[in-house]
Amino acid sequence: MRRLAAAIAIVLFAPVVAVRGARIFGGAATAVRVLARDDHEQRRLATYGECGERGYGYLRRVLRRFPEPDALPRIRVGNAFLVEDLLPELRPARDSRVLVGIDVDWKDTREQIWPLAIHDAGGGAWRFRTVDYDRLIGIGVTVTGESPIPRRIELSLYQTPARRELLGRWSVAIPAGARDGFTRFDPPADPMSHQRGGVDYLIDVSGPTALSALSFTVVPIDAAGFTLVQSSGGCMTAVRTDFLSDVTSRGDAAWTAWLADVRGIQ
Amino acid sequence: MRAVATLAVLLLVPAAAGSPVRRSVGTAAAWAFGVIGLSLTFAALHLAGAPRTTTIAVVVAMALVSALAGVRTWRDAPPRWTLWSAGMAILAVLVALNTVWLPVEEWDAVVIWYAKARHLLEWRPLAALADPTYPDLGPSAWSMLLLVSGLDNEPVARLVFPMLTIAWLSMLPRLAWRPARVRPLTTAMLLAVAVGAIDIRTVTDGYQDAPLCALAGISAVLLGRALIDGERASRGAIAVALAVAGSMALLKREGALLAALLTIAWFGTFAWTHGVATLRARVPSWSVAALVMLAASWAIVEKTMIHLPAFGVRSFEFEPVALGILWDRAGRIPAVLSAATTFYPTYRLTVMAAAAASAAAWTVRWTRPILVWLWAVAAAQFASLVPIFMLTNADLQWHLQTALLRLVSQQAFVWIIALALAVIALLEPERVAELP
Repeated sequence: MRRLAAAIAIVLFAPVVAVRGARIFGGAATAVRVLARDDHEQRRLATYGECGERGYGYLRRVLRRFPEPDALPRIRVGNAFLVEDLLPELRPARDSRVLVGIDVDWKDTREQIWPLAIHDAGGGAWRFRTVDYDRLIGIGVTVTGESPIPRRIELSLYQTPARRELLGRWSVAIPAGARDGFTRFDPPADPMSHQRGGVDYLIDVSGPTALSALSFTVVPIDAAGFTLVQSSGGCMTAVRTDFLSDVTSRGDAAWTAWLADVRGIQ
Repeated sequence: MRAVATLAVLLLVPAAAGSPVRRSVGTAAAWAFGVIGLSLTFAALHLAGAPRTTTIAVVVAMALVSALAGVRTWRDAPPRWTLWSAGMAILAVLVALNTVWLPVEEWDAVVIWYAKARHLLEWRPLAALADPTYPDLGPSAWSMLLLVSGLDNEPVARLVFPMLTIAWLSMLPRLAWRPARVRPLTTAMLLAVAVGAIDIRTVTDGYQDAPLCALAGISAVLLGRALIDGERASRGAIAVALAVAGSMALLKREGALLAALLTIAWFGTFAWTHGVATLRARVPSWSVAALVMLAASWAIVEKTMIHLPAFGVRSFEFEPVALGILWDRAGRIPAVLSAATTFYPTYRLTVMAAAAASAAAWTVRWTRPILVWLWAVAAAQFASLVPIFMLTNADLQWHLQTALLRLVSQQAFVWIIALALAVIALLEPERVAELP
């Protein structure tokens, strides 16, 4: 019994030792090779990328001649984590006059309609998920059938599928003979989409008809009042328009040199 | 140059700080105890609003005073090179190489733990740290070393976490009757167990699950040894084990529960095998108070000092604990259990091997209380994870895929100690005293 159990343990654990040991030795060999070849910055570039998901190389390039040594621009990363935590220096201040976008496009600063994949949660409620956006402008609905008279449906949006925290309650008018309705928010709803992980929203729908489709009208990246100064390969830099005019009219040497440097990014 | 200085600080300063307990628990546990003590001091002074320079001065002074207090232990019993220590030193170098070439990049490691460490460098107030409801022990250790290394050498500062794993694995021979004199075959087998215990990615990536497992392992080896020794058990070692267990609550929030499971089950097992009178005689009452204080400390800090908006910092991710919600979501339990069967083969094989090894070790009587205690802890720890996935508002499959293995891996110390125990019990039987 003792020998059999011990033999089973050895047979089961031997492959684990082999696999994990090989990984430890293989990783160490790779480490020796890479440490001999690359410096810290090269290793960070290889790990975090130039202008991919992390956009480390692009941000470093933008900051090369940035006139505020203790500050970071406002950074908006597509749907990944903040690249600022990867920099090899601390920049505790924020300079909101400059916006850097990683893994985004300038067209993401304009209003867009996002059709949402909705899933029936029962009892007239629907679950759905979004990626990050800065401003929610409005909600559009499509209902199941037409009607000769105008209709109105009521929407209640909750933070979680268990109806924790009501985020908003809206009424959407559907004209006679139509299946679509839209309500626009003025002012836009507060940003509430960031860092949601895998948590669904829940929307309660009540009214004389059933929902068949739902859409958000959003501004994914809020760059109102900014001018694009450089864009390449999914990364971009924009500067607040009034500040840009000020720099140009004053001839501020440090900012002018930085602008020229950023515009030179290929 | 700064990398070398960081390595020297990493190895020497915690060893100095932990030297007063070295005689009771050995060099590795004393070093880990030093890491915990210095990091706790750093975190506590930050919490109390002390200036950064004062905090650093206190930490340095604490290391110096501890070194002076413990200098005799190094003079009287200098570290000796053995086959085991040489093997573990080589393993430590290999693990260190695996750590230092790769910048921190895994998601939570960056956005929670490394971000916290950086924010501590800026000496931001508690509520302004990344994910302020997560405890600060690990980021404090990382941050202190970043002060020496600079952000450019971040991976070198991160070495503190894999070295905690090395520290606990190097304690495995303490379960033998004469740890310094185990046979070469036993040493070789234990080295194989140590290698098989290291999932190199999770040990080096900056997540806090492997360090939590390491602290649990250090505590479990010391407490397991006390179960073997009974009335001869070292009061100092038990006190250190309880303090290390309590500090788990300051490493991760679930560390409080693991500390409670580990220690309460141990109290019960010790009383069952050696009697309540022996338990009272061997466990210093102040160490129990320290355990309770440490284990409860983060929950108290969270309740009293972190004032966040009701729905701040992703609090919507979980429903509050309520019987109604648990009942409504009981249908998720099969999905959680099923997800546990899809772990990587290296994990599944380790659990199965540990179970078989436990069966083999069971034939040697002195191992039984330790095996019963540890497997009870493992079962209870797994059971405690199930409600997390019943209360989550995130997509269940997504959450299971991203979190379950990491959480279950915190109990890997049980599997590894079971394997080590079997090696020792079967290869060193005549050297271990049977329990009465």
